Amino acid sequence: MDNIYLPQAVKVLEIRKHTPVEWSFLLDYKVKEEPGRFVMVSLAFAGEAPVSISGFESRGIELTIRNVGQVTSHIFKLNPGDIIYLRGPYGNSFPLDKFKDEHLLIIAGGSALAAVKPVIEHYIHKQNSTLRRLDVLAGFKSPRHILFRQELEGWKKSHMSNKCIDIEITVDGEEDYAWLGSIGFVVNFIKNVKGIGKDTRVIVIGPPLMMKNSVRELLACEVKEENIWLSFERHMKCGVGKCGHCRIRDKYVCIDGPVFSYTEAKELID
Amino acid sequence: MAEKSKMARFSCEEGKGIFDSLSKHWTIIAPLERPGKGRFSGTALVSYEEVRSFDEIEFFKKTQFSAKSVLLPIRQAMFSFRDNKAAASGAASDSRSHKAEEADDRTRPTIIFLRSCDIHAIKVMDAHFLNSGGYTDFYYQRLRQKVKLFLIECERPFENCFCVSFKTNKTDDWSAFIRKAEGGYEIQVKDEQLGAYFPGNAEDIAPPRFAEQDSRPVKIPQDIDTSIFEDEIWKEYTLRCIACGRCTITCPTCSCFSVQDILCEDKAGEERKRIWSSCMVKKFSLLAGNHDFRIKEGDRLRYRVLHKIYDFRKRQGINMCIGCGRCDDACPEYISMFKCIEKINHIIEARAARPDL
Repeated sequence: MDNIYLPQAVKVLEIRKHTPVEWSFLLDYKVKEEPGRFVMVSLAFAGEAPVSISGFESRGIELTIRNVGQVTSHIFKLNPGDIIYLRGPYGNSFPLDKFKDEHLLIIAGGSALAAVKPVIEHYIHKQNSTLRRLDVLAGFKSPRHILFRQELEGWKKSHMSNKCIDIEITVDGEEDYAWLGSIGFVVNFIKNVKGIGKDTRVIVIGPPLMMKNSVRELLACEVKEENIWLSFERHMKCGVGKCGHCRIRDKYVCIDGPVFSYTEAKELID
Repeated sequence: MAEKSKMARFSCEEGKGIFDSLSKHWTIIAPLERPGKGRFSGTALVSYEEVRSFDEIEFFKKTQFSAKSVLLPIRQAMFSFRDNKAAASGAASDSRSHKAEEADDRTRPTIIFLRSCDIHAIKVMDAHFLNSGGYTDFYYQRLRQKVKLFLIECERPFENCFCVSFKTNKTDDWSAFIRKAEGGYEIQVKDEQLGAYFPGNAEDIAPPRFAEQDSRPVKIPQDIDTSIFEDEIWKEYTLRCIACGRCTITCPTCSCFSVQDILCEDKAGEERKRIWSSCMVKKFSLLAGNHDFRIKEGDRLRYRVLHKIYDFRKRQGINMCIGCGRCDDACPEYISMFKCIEKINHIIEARAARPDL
């Protein structure tokens, strides 16, 4: 009898600090590259939380964590060489086969960019890119909240830069930084995406309101419902469809999601 | 059904010996009436407890709580975190010196005395914990394997019951059926292992009698879509529900849980436990960063009721509600599952009659 709840002790290999509250942890845990899936992360006496895999690297997986909760505040006290407990990965992944040779638009709000980073890297790192065109629309609260600055710059300069990739970074407001880029919610930039239309494949990930508004705008741009995928975030205690916390109607976000096509997602009202 | 089974009739006096030999190997959990322990002064609590004799068992009164805590304890140890300090000393810690060590289980084999509806409730829990989504819940399965079910009769439905409507009034899924009769007991045992404890001195034990008619039948809605989510009834429930969670605690099929880490000094480590949780209580779905879902009580009630009568069935093919009415009995605000189902039927019928609305 397998105990699905027993986590495995794993070593922290490296810590990458992006912003004061958003760090990436490279962990000595190797899994199959399936962008969109998550692991359950825990520490003794801190509890357990689901975290999306933000990178599949040769040394292990990268988790990008925002220091906003009970579990994460303990994780931020770790140093390289320390032990963290993991189980998984769980959930489904983005349907990369459905994006083959198509125009893919990725819309990410805030730290949710971490969960789609492996999708972008999948196309960027492969010399024979299988996309017709890739657009990334990443929105952040303010310039100092921008996550993966280096990666974002790197993606722009990649082999896909031959006019088939566009990375648009926008911020909701400037605050005290001098910011020369776009200002405004991501939803306002959707209609400007080159070639957006009924055949565009779209991934939307971020806060619920941002996802809702983005989908409305996408549909107005004639993107088909079945070509839109959303990734949900919910409170989870088990990751395997037992604890009940992430259930929406007859679906469990942990095992039926977190990625849902909009045709399914529109029925999932909390 | 032509199953090979053993029948026996024994007196209360003979029952003592049988019970003693049975209880040497089995923990026996059955309805027990405890005077003065009820919700109000001078009332009794009828609940599932370990019993010491057949005579102690309350065969005829409805239990206010179900027996689910046998299979899903209110608090259950999952594992403890072990770090081998000796191996880890000196150089940086090594993942091999750290381990999550499974909590062992010393529960004895257990017999539970259940009515038909409560046996159906265990089928609901089995569907969820043993098979759903391709994952088997280790801790549930470990306890479930040790449990055998004894059927007790329910000739007439109790107040607030609607088992016939939910078709949970009958069952064949038992190891033994026991009836309290004049001066003793009648039993029919299907399970060979358990048959050995009983004399086999009768052949004419009447088969179990089941409730055949609800005092208040209710129609189970077949197709429910999101159009009823905006209805006024949920607003009314928001005004009434106080989010106490009694309905989920008394429900025999509510099985949501949370996880807690407890520091145990004697065990030199932290222990992770799971503990009952309730979708009716605030913060059930609260995310770190303070984003919440179903903030209003009425929305949480809708979430629970529709799971019980529709969503679970859509996934598992059986209703989650078994019609025991314990939630109706327990609600301090007199919110009734039965009435709520009736209201949902009315909304659906009204919409069918006026599709233009």
